[in-house]
Amino acid sequence: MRRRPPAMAESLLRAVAPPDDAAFIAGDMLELFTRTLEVAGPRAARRQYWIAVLQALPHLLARRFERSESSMFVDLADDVRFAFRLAQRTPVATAAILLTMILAVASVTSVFSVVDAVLLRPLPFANSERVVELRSTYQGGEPLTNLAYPDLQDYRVMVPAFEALSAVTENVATLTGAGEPRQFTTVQVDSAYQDVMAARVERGRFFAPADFAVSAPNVVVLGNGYWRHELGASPSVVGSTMVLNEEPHLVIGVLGPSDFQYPQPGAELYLPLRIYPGTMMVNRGAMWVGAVARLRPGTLLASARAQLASVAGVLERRNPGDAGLSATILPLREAVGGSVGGMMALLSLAVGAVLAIACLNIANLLLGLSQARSRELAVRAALGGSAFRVRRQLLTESLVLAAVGGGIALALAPALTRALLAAYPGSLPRAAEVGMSPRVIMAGVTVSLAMALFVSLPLLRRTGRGNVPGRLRSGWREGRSAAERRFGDLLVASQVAVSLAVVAAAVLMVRTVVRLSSIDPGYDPRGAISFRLYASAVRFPGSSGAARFYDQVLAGIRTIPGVRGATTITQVPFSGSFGDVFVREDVGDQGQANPHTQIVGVSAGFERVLGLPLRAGRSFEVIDGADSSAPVVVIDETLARRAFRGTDPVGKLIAWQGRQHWRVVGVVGLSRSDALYDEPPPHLYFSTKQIPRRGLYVVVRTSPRPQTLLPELRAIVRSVDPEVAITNVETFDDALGHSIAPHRFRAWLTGVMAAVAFLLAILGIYAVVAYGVARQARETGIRMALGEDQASVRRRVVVMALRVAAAGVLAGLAISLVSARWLGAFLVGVSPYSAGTLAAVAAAMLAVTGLAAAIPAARASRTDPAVALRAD
Amino acid sequence: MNALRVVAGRELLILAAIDRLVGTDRPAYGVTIRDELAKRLGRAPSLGAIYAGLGRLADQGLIALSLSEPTPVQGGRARRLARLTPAGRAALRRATVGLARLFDGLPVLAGS
Repeated sequence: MRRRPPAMAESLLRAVAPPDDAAFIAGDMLELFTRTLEVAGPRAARRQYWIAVLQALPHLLARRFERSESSMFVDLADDVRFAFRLAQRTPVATAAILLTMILAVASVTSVFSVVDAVLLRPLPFANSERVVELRSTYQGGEPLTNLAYPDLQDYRVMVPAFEALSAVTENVATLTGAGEPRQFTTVQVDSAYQDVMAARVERGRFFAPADFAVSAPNVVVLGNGYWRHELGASPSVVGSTMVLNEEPHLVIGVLGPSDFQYPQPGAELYLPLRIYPGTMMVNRGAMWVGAVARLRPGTLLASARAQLASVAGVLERRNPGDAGLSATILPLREAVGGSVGGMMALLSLAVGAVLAIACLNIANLLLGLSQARSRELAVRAALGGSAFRVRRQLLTESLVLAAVGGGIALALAPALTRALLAAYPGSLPRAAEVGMSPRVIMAGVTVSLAMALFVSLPLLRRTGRGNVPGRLRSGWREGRSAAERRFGDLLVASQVAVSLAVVAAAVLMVRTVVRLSSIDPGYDPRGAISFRLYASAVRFPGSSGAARFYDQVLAGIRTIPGVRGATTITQVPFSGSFGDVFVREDVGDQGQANPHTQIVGVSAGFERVLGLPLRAGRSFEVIDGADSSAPVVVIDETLARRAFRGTDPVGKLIAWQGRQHWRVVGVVGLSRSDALYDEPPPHLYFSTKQIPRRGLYVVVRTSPRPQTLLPELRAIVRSVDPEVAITNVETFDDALGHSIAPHRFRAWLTGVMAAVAFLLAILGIYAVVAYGVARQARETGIRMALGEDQASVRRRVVVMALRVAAAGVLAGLAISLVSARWLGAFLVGVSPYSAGTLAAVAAAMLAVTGLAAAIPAARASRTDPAVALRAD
Repeated sequence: MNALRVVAGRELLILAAIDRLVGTDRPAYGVTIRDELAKRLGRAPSLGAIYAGLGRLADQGLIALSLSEPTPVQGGRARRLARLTPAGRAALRRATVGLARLFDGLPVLAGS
């Protein structure tokens, strides 16, 4: 054992002790050590030395802190006071800086709060990172959300990585017997669902194996939100009965509170998924069911994926129905948030651009302000202010700005977040989780601080350089050094570049919206409203009963004054689609080449209600519904063009849905039913009287605004069946609007960002030019004294500004071209490489630069040489 | 104003220890102050606490610090010695008189 104090303890002591005391206290410690060494030996001495050092640490630290208070903290208070005084002296510039800062920090914070909740944060239940969604793939293509049930059963048994696996599928159910009939989304699940989602049961029980028997009594488990908000957390709910789709269901349990509903928000009625043998449910190749699984602890995603793929390979060899099928898994968090990933990326990029521009702008403004303070800073240096001290003053000023601006921004962020969520088209997964979490606040604070640091970097770099006496003498009138000027120009050029890219993106998005709005959907959306009904199997039994129900509803509606027509329809525009193939009987079965078309069921006179022109033949007539009538279909001109090229389709026979001899009786105009921008898909219309359906939409065309007739429409439906729920009420105009809502939102978002970026860039250009003109007043005076005329002065100033802007424009064009491929995903019918758009934006940028420079240029040209030279 | 301040707690102990060391052959510095307190009280504050206390007392002008000659051994070092200033002496006197008055006739002392 060495006869020296432990080196580590000694250096710790010296590091912590106040510098003046360190040597003495170390010496005293050594003295004690030597004494203990003689009495008790090295081991005890070293141990006591450690103890003494550790005991001393808090005292020494406290002492250090007390001392520093007298210098550092007092100075800090001075710096802060000075920063506030300075802000009062330059109110306009300070307000501009603060506003820019608030704008940037508030938008970054609120977008981060959304992105964090939707994409980044783990799902709010136990060990959610182990939960995955299964997806099937067909011949290596894009993953599909649904699987075949027999495959799912095999995965459950054969993939060791799965601790639990549950089938999940959604449905809708009408709740009756409790006030107004209402429609709810239901979720059908396995008993394993509880384990997969770590769902706690608050009351009663979850499904037991017996509940899944086909003949078992109907049962339902309620989500906690439904129980709380719809049933007032009634304690007696377990054991009560709910009427869903006209069948009584026994409530057997209530789940514990959860912020997360899967597969979609608001799905809070759980039913046991019952598998009926002998139906398509048990067909391999019938992809109808979704699945979630919980991985065993410690299982890597990659190995689980590999196990699943190899099991899928085994199934593919074993079952011909599985040819080309495989499966993969996706963490549930990504599966849930993935659909909005692109939009979130766009949002993040947009606020990133605003942040960058804001930083550049503030740095620019601060640089300008500091040059006006050049003399003050020089005085500080002359009076012995060290470069460190001056830098600290400047940094404190930025930090004070950041504290004030960041504080206001954080206070505003929740409101901005609410506005963003309200403006967001459609529903955002996990929107309920969005809020000002500690993480979000941390992010806002970090951004503010980082901004303060970044914007003061150019200033900090500059201080302590150059000759103090020179600056003292000439004050702010001294011309800037070449390096300073270049730096200022660089800031402005970067601003121009980023703004140009944002403006170009906004113009492309707006052009997309304009283009979509001008596309003819084929049908006439004005004055049309649709809603969905479900014909009761109890009161209108049999397929003829369903047809009778809709006959009565349509007949009633047609009596309402102001109604010009009404039809049933299997799907309204943008409500999804159903496709199938058919065989032309005159050319025979073509195998793979049989024509494919959208299939839509309608009633007589549908073409007048939808506003489709009749091109040839006739439409459905009332007689087509009669039992003895021959099966007929109507096609649209797109299908006529694709499937009956060059021949007259009217009178042709087709085989479809296992039935022969459907006769094509007419051709109507095309319609874009699912997406405005696509090529119009082909349509085949059948009569809902020849193939009755229970669930159908009703479309009503009215002369007054369709919403005004809603009470009458409801009354008619209720007179036919008081128990039926009217759901999915929407006008065609709204449906069209919703279909382009994401585009509108993107255009609006980038438009706002672009306006901000553009404005800030113009401000930046103006500030730099105006400032440069003021600085060069003496030079201008000399030039004018030597005979330069006013026009030439103006030209010189404007050209100087244009040169800087041109560099920025070139860089901005480069950014636009690089990001074009990514941007293309958000555009429809508009090329991201559109030369016209880019050229126009570039020209506009240069023109505005010229205008922004013209005002200071005019001021420069009015310089009176005598005054300019006399000043100083 | 410092002169009228009543010192108390650890600082008072340190002042007293310095005063006790006056007139002995041992100069007053960290180790000796600690030893003196250990001898009289049975336990002593850590060296770190003593140094912090010395710093505070010096800030208040109650003691003056000076450097000793290096100790006359090989590698010997200088010590930071403490002595009472007049203000320190007055403060110590005021504190001890006050405490003596406070303790005089305490029942707990009479009972023991």
